[in-house]
Amino acid sequence: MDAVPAIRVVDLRKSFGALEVLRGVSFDVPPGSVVSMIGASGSGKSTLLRCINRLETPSAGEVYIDGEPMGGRLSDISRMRRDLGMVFQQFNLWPHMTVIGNVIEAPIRVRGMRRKEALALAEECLARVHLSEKGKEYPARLSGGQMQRVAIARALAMQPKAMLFDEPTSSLDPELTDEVLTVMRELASDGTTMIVVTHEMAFAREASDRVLFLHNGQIEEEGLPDQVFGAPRSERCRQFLSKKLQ
Amino acid sequence: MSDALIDALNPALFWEYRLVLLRGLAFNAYVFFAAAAVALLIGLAAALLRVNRARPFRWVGTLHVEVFRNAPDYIMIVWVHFVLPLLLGKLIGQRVEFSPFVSAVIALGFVYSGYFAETFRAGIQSIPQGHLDAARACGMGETTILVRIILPQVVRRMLPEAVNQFVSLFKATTIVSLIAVPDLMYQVSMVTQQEMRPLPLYTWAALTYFVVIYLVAGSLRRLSEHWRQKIYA
Repeated sequence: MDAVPAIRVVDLRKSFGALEVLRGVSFDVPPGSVVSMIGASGSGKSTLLRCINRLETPSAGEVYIDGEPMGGRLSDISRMRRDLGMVFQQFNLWPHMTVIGNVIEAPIRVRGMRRKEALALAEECLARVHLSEKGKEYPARLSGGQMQRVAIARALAMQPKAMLFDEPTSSLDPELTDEVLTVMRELASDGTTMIVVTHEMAFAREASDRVLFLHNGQIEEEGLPDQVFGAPRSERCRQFLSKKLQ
Repeated sequence: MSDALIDALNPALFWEYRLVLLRGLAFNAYVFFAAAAVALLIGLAAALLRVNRARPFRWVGTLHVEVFRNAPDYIMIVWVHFVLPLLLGKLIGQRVEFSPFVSAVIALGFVYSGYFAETFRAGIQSIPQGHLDAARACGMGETTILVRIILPQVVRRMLPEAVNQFVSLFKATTIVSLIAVPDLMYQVSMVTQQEMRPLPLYTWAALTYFVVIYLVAGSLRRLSEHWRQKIYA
């Protein structure tokens, strides 16, 4: 018997008005595994990720976290969101709080953790992203790569069952992407369950257990990284990859 | 210089009545703080209505802003003091009367709540959606997000404009003598009735207001700038 998937997505659909962005997407993410989602802009990757933690409300379909359906009530959704850390393309740190403040905020306000415990946890999380010395800085004083690593620490501090990454390096200068990808590789090898929407093909190939290629709101190709990158069955996937890997 | 001008600039009379006048200035401060509290609270409530998803709420918020922003404070004070009690009395079937202080605070508080609502609204709408997404993704509820993520940023953003509005509000407290709130202007007119020398009193009252507002607003601005710089470096 297979273990219960950490995240199970079943026939997820999403329309914005007449525009159908997701046309029935299903996949499983086993605990401890890394799933990368690749595809052209507008293929629905980010929308799919945002439907998983209900930042967007799906038009149809269901998402299960550890076998439990996400549910429709706001309180249920908030409870499930605690278990899904999310990292955004634009970092979205809260600028009026220090680095430490950003990391301890949700553990204190959402998990009801005591401040002292939260601070100890925050230090641990900042160490994992190699930013222990930046705790007292405000986000405005950090580089993009540092901000994104703080955002990762903030998500980790909720001790989530899985992490969702929405193009975490897309708004970074090329010389800053490596420090973020390094942290993500370390998380992956620590056994963190991750879904990563990315344009970093090298990362998707080396660090993930499974790769999904999205096209037009559907999974066009899916498989082991070597299979998707080495011998894609779909013509569209082949074209996409040949453009990306040029 | 003419004798009249020399008399107008002479501080002696103002100084002689300084205690009574200072007590009047304290009343300006009471009215100011109470009205500012009302304006901030009601203004925030109206702003939250204006950014609400449900259209009827937005209408109510907009109505509030338009009514009070476009009402002259002078007329509002008179109306609240003399007409509103009649209206309320009719509603509850009992005689209602407001003390001048209460009327002044209600009138100025509501007029300025219209301005503060717009400042709050602009501040709330300037918070990037991503900050809210990040908070929701952590499982925060909407009230926590408002109190911990939105308002602290809104307050910092709106401070420069809010200081200007506080200055206007403080200046507006000088018309509350209209309904016999014993503020500085009221005391000035009382002293004038005894001494029959209004010019030096008004000159020095004007200077007093200027110095108080200039000093307080200046330090508020410096404080808020210092506070903002940490974040928007």
